[in-house]
Amino acid sequence: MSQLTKIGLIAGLLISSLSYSQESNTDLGQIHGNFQTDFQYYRPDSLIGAPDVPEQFLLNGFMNLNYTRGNFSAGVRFESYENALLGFDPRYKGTGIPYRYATYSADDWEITAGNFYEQFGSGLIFRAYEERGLGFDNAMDGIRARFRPAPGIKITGVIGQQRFYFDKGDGIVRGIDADWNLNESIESMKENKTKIILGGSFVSKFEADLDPRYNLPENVGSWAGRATISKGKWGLFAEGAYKINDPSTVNNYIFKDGHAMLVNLTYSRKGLGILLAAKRIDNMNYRSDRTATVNDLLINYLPALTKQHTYRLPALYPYATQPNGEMGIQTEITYTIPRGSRFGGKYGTQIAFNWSIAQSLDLQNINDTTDIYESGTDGYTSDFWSWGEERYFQDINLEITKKFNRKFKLIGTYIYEEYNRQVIEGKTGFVYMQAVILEAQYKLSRTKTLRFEAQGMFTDQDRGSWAMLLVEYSISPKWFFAVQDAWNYSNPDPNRQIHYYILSFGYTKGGTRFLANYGKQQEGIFCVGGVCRNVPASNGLSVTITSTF
Amino acid sequence: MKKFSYILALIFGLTAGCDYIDDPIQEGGIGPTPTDSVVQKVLVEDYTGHKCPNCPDAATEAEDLKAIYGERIVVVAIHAGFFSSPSPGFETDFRTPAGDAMNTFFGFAAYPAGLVNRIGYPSQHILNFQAWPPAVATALDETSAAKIEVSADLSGSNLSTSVNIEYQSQIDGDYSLIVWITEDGIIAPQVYVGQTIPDYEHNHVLRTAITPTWGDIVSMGPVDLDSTYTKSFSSTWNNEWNEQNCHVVAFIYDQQTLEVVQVEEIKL
Repeated sequence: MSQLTKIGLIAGLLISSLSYSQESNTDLGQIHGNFQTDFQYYRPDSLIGAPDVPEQFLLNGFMNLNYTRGNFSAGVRFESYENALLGFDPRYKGTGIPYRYATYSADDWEITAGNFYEQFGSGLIFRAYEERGLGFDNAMDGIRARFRPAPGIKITGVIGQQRFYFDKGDGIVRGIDADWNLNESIESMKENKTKIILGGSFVSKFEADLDPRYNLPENVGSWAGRATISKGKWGLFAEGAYKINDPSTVNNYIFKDGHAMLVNLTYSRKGLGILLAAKRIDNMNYRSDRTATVNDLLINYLPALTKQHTYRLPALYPYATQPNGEMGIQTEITYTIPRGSRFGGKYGTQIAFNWSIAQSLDLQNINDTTDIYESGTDGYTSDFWSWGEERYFQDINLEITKKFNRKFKLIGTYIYEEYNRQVIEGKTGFVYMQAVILEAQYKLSRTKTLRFEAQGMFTDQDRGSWAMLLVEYSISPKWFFAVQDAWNYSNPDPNRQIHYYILSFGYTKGGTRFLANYGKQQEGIFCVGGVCRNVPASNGLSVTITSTF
Repeated sequence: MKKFSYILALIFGLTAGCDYIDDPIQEGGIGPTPTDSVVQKVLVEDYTGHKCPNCPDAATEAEDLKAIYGERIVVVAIHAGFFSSPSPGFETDFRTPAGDAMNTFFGFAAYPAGLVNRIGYPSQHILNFQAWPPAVATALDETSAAKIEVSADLSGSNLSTSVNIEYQSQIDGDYSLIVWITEDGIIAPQVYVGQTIPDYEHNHVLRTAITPTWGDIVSMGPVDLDSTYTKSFSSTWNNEWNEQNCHVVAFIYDQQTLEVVQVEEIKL
C-alpha cells in the first residue's frame, strides 16, 4: 500500500516534471481524466433488513488522471473508501493509489509497465478488467508487451500479479496471446469476402504449495484457441479453452482438468437480427489464489449468456455464471415489422425475443468408491454433449417497442424466469417468476420528456410479488426528476409488505453530473455479465457526482 | 509464415508452466512434531453463526486440523454477524460483545470465514475455511517467541485465572494478552445447506472475554528474557455454562501487526 503510494507519487512527479520541463516546446502533452464520488447517508431501518452503519455516512470515490504526449502516456487512479458503501467489500478501506502505469508505443510495439487491463479472446482463460459498480477490479500489476511482427499479426505478452483490494495477490500470472487476421496478412485473401481471424493464447499461474494434505500444482497452465469467421450477413465466433488440474476451494480440491467452449452464430440484415449462442463450462474456476472465492483474484471470465434486465423488478433475479460447470444456450431474435404495413404503422414496430437457459453438467462418479466432488480425486466425469438434470436458470422474454407518433412511444415487456436460488445465491429455494412491464415515453416539447413505467412481478416464492410505478420528467440536457415506488405487496411476512419508494433528482452541466436519490432500496443482487455482488437493503440519501475532463 | 511458426513454437514452448499431479494425497501428511520444549501453537478463529448454511463445513475443517496437529491448534468459534442473530427456531444467543466488536473490526462480510493467528491484517487476514490448512501449516513453522502457562480456579461464581508469559526470543514491541472462555458440546439448532439440524453440537464457542476485547498490555518495548510476566484476573462465572465442557484460551499478540505470537488452552 505505502509502496504503491510511493510509486504513484513518483509517477505523478514524473508527469508534472515532464510537463514543466517542456515549456519551450509547444506540445506539453495533455491531461485527461474523470472523477466520481458516491456518498450515502444511512438511516437505521431494521424492518427492511438494513444493516447498522455505525459511521452513518459512507463514501466511495475515485479519480483517473491520464497524461499523453506523443508516443508516451502515463496515468494514476486515486481511490477512496471512507468507508466503503454497503454491499462493497469492506477490504476496500481507506485512500490510496492502487493503479498507475506508464506506456510507450512505437511503430509496431508497445510496452506498459505498472497496472493494466487486458483480455485474451473472450476471456475464457484471461481477462483483467474492472467493473466499478460491482467493486470488481483484478487489474494486473507487472509488464505488458505488444508486438506486431507483420501485417495482421498481433502478439501480446503479460506477466504480473493481480490486484487484491488495496493489496496484490501472491500468485503470479503470465500469458501470451497471438491474434492473426488472415485477410490482412495473406495477400491472396485481401479481397476475399470471407473474413477470418484466428487466435490462440496460453496462460499460466504460479502459486506456492503449502498445503499439509495434498500435493498441489504450483504451476497451472491453460490454453485457448479461437476463430472469428464472417461472410456477408453471417458471423461465427468460437472459442475453446483447456486448463490442467487446478484444485481449489471453489471446486473442493478436485484434481480434474477444466474445459470451456463458447460458440456464437449471428445473422443480420435490415430489420432482422438473429443470435444463437451456446456454452459449456466444466471446472473452469481459475484464480491466482486457489483459496480465493466470490469475486477475488479471478484470472478468467466466463460470460453469463443471459439477458441482463434493466427494469428494477426483474433485475432482482439476475443470473450468475457457475464456474464449476454449466451448459447454456441463448437465442435472440430482433425483428422490425416494416413501416406502412398493418402492424408496422408509420414508424415500424420492433420486436425482440430472447430465450436463455443454463443447466448443470451431467456428472458421473469416477468409480464406485469415490463420491462426486471428493477432494483429492479427479472429482467426476461428464459427457460433453449430455445435459445435467438440474435447472440453474431459464428466461423467456419478449419486448415490443411501438412508436405511435413523433411524441409518443410505448414499450411492452413480458418475462418468464426460472431462478435456482440454491445454486445462484446459496440460499434455499427455486423461484418461478413472471413480469409484465409497460413503459411509455411522451415528448412534451423538444427538450421536455415524460417517462412512465408500470411493472408487475409475480411469484409465489421468495419475497412474493411486487408492483411498481415510476414517473420521470426530464428537461434535456440539464434536469431530471423521478419518483418511484416498488411495493412488495404479497410478501409472506405481512410486516414486510413494504413500499420501497425512491425520489431522484439529477442535474448535468458540461461534463459534470449530479444525481441524488432518497428512499429505500430493497435487498438484491447486482450483476454485470454474470459476475454478481449482494446489495443489502438501505434507507437514506445517496448522492453521486461524476465528472470528465 | 515462418514468423507464425516461431509464434506457435513460443506458445507451445510455454507448456513448461504446468504441473501435472498424479499423486494428489500427501504421504504422511504432517511434518515432524518439534522436540523443543516450547512448541509454537496456532489460534484458528472461526467466525460463524447458527443460521449460516455453510458454517458446519468450516467447523469440520477445524476439527480435521485438530486431528492432524492435535493440541498445537486452538480453535475458537466466534458467533457474530448476520447469521448469528437469534430468531424463531434459533433462540440461543451465542453472540458476545467481544465477538461483535472483532467481527466489525476485522471486516467480515461473508461466513464462514476465519483468522489464522490474525496474520495478514489489514487486507489479507480473512480466510475462508479451505484456506486454513496452508495458513496453519505456515504459522506452525514459525519459531516460538513465547511460552504461556495458564491456570484457572472456579470457586462458586468466581473464576480466578492466572497467566504466565516467558518470552523465548529478544522481541521488541508492544504485546497484549487476551483471555477467553470457550464451551464445547452445546446442543442447539444449526442451519446446514438448505436444512436445519435440530441437535447440532456447537464446539469451541466463545462465551466471554475475561480481558477487554483488545486485551491487557503485557510488555512494551524490548522484552526481558529472564523474567516471567504474570497477569491475574478475577471474573464472574455464568451458571448457564457447563464448566465440565469449558476451556480457558489465552494468547498474546503484537499490537502493531495484530499477529498472534503464542496461544495456550487449558481445560477448566
